Amino acid sequence: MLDLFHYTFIVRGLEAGIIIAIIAPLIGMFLVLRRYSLIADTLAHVSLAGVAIGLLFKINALFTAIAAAVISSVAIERLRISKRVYGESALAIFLSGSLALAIVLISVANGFNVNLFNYLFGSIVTVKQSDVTIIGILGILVLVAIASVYKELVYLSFDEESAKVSGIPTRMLNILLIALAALTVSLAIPIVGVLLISALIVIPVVTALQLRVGFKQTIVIAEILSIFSVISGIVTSYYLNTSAGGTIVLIALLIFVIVYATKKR
Amino acid sequence: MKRILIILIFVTAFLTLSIALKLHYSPTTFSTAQSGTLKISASFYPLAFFAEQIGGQYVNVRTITPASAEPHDYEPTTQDIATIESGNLLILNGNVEPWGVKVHDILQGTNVTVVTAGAGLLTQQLVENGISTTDPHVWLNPHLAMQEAYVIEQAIAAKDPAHVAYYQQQLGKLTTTLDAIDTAYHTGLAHCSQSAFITSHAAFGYLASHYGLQQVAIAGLSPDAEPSGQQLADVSAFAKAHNVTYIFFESLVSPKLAETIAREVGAQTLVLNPIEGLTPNDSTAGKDYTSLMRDNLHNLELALQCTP
Repeated sequence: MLDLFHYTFIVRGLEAGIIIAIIAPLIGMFLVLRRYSLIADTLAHVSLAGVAIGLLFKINALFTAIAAAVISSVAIERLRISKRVYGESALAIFLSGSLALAIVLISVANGFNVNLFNYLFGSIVTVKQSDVTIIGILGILVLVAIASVYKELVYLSFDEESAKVSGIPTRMLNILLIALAALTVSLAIPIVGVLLISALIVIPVVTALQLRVGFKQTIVIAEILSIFSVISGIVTSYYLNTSAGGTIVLIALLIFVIVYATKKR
Repeated sequence: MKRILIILIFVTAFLTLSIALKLHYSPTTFSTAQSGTLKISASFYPLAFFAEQIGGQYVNVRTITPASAEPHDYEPTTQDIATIESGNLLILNGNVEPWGVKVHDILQGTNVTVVTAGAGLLTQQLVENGISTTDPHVWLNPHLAMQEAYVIEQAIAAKDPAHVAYYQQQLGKLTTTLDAIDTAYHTGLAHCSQSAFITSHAAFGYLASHYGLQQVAIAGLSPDAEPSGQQLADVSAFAKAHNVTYIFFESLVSPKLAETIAREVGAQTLVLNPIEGLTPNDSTAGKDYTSLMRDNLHNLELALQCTP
């Protein structure tokens, strides 16, 4: 039955998938609490522009995606702080703007339409060994960064005003959080793809929040759900011959629906 | 916490059930019944056809690109890659398969041999928007198809030296068939009133140059590349200037473009099959590579107004 573990590319996909499943809800937790769920989607579109740049100049698309996402995450946050545009307008500008840039760059380079599909919907088949290493190293970086400012981030998530008053560098933290989100999003692209990434970041957290338990417990449950969705999604997609990214997200969504429907009022 | 556990168990059971059902109704990968045969994956139809002809009873060939999908933009699924990895040999054409480069990385450390049948044969370039791309469509020229068949035979024989004599004999038969097609093209296209033909996708470059024809393509080397308005206008002008009466389209992609031009210049449309896949209709009609090559010849003779 479990013949799929003989295949090296599936093992690679699982490795990368599990690393992402670990960091995604961690970032997602803070994003969801701060009503920032859509930033993941925006950053994913920005990463697509980064991927297009990478493909155009024949650089490793993972690096250009990370660079594009991190740089624009800072820009989005600055635009939001400036208060000259609404927060979600800033997201909309970057979301459609970067998609426009991506599609123009793609038509300039005409000839990688096929690769594009991989980036839009993910494909564990495309994960190379070097990608797993990069995802692993950067994943640890995200974990360490979150752990080192964990307390401040929690404070910030629940009460930004008093966090500011009590001397926490809220601006720096906000930018750090979004930059980490950008990093996570770009890392997750090969597995679930640009269009589905925010689901992996947001859905397990939202599901866990339904249970109304403590902060740490919510994170633990979100982690379990996310890892479960990724592993079962990859295994199921292999046997059903479906897209891995889509299957992962649908499983996460199925769990959410069940949890929501069976919730004690 | 307990509830989550119950839900996860429920979801696992549901997924396992769906997998079990799927495996029960449509088992994938190579059928294990024919053990002892060489398991060959071919990226798309003509290569699979050559491999089957050469390998005969000793090989089990699977085509990666499914019937009625376009090999230029088909992405292998996880199962396809698993199929490739569980086989002995993978035959690529080179430059058609977008996954051709990547698959080498994926197959590193496995005992699957990758053979690129078109290696060294892709000599023609096509310039699109100032970017020159190598034309991969060698299998449409019977002469080059023979060389691909030879490369495939060498690869199969190297994997299974016990049946070399058989493979050589089969290659001989295939070469004779291809030779006959070549002769038919030479004689059929010898006296034509026109030499230029318009196709929707630039797949017939090697065929055209071999038989002294001129191919004008509406789109580029990849069948789904959208031509600009300017390109469409140029092709229409060409068609008008040369009194082209037939515009070719192909079976696997929409005939929209060919029809647009045909309407524009008052021509009719005809199929010129790039033989990149065998549609379910083709297979039920008992078509194969050789009969499709002959159909193409027939339609070319019609379009170029050839007299025997």
